[in-house]
Amino acid sequence: MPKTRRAILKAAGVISALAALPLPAQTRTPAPGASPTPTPGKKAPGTLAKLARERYGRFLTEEEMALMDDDMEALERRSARLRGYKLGNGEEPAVDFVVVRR
Amino acid sequence: MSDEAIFFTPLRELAAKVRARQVSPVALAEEALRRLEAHGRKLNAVVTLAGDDAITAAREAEREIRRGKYRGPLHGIPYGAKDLLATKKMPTTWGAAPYRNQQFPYDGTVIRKLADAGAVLVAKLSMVELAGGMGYNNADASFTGPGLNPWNTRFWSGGSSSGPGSAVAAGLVPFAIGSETVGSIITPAAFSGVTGLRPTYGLVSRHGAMALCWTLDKLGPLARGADACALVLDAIAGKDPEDPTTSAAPVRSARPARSRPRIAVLQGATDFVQPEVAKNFDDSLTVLGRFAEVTRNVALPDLPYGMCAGTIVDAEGGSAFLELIESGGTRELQAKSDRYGGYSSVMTPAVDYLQAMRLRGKMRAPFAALLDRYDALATPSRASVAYPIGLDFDKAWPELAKDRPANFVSAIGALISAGNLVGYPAISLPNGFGQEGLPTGLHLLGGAFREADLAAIGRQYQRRTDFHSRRPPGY
Repeated sequence: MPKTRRAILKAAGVISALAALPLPAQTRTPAPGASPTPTPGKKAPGTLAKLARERYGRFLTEEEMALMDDDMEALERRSARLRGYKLGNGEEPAVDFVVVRR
Repeated sequence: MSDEAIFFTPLRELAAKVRARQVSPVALAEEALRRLEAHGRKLNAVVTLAGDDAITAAREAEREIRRGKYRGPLHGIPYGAKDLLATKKMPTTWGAAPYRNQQFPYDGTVIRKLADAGAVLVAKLSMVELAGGMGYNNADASFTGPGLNPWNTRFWSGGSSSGPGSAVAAGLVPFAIGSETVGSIITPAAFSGVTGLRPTYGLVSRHGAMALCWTLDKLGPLARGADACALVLDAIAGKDPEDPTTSAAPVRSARPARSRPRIAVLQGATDFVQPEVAKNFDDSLTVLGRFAEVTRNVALPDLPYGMCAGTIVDAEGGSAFLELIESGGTRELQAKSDRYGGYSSVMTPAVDYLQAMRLRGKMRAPFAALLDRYDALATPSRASVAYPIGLDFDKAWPELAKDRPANFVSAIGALISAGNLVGYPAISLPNGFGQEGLPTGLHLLGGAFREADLAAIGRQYQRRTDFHSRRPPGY
């Protein structure tokens, strides 16, 4: 089964996505200023996950941070895949910028 | 006909009765309000009832019709709107606790257009919080509770247009307006056993609708048949100065471009789906074959649809809800996964977004070519029937994952993602029932601005089947 929100989105084709990992039965709202430290015994967070913990860890429980770490890892994997597609310099994004004449 | 059955009547027939003054718009509004209160609340389908405002609008419709000022087939017909459409007389909650008291001083364009057509707004209907933009993984993802399926209330009605799906299925309103970014009309239509029409991007104004993803969001009808969807679409489509992405392209006449439409069945359409989904789909192809040329095993252009859709939704949704996410406001959301899901969205690199948008650009030409050859591409709407309430989506129907390769790409998911990325219209038609008495759907994707062709195929299919007119027990 897909294990990340992006994998689920891809598999399901619907905006319905977050982590497939089980959430703990009890989550708690962290006290303001709670330290976003990694859970002992867990794999150390990657570069993006560390940044996310630094920025947003104060809003999350330990369990939520561990799940956010998984999302960040998936983000890094997706990033690598997206950048693996070779695109020519002239291949423009599907964005239509239009100048407004006044 | 009893009052109980009135909203199971085909919309065109109901409109004729209203026009002939055999049915009163006031009686219809009262009945809709009664049914929404009695059944809609239990299904978690209702956010706010319009109450006296609906009765006032219905009285005005009745007066006009009596005087001979008939506005068209929606005149005097009650409807519900997904609660992401701004309405000046009711709160607009976006399904999310942080916005439960949000009030806009104006009506969105679709609400205004439906009022101009004489339709009577009776309720704001429930939805997945923020239209699923934070990445929910459980039906319990709205401050109004999980949308319950009228066919079996132990199961979800689908999302993110949960209320429109269940309210139409239970005959609480004749039609409803939903929205789709990637699957949010097609999914509740399939899971709830109603017809849902996702229009071409830009055909219907998004003005006044909650923005999740500016380049993917669309508004469209859910109703009890393809004909009803086409009638509603006619009323809401068109250029709008309030939404610069709208197009002046007309909705084509309700006639297929070819005397026998050409329908392509996607390669792998029934791989790793429930047996009933596969059987119902095969049966649908038999029915379609009576009036269309059906070609099997057609491949989509090989491009990363799901990955691009996910990246674009993350980046645009992260920006659209940046303040909520970065202020920690997502802690108030209902779904556990929505409370942290936004953080990966706002961390999406700009270059990734642009890579996805450049790949999206590459999808345009091959899709245009494919939809020149065929009038519609077909798959089942979903691989399974609806998911059980109380179970994370990825834990539902585990048998589907058995023996499925890790690198499996679902044709069903790819068609939903691809169709939304290229902005083409799609329709989901009820095509039978599966496990737990739950409905299944047939998904048809059409060419740009060819909604009328899809509706015509839908009408022909529904002339030969009765799944769209079935009524859930107890409603």
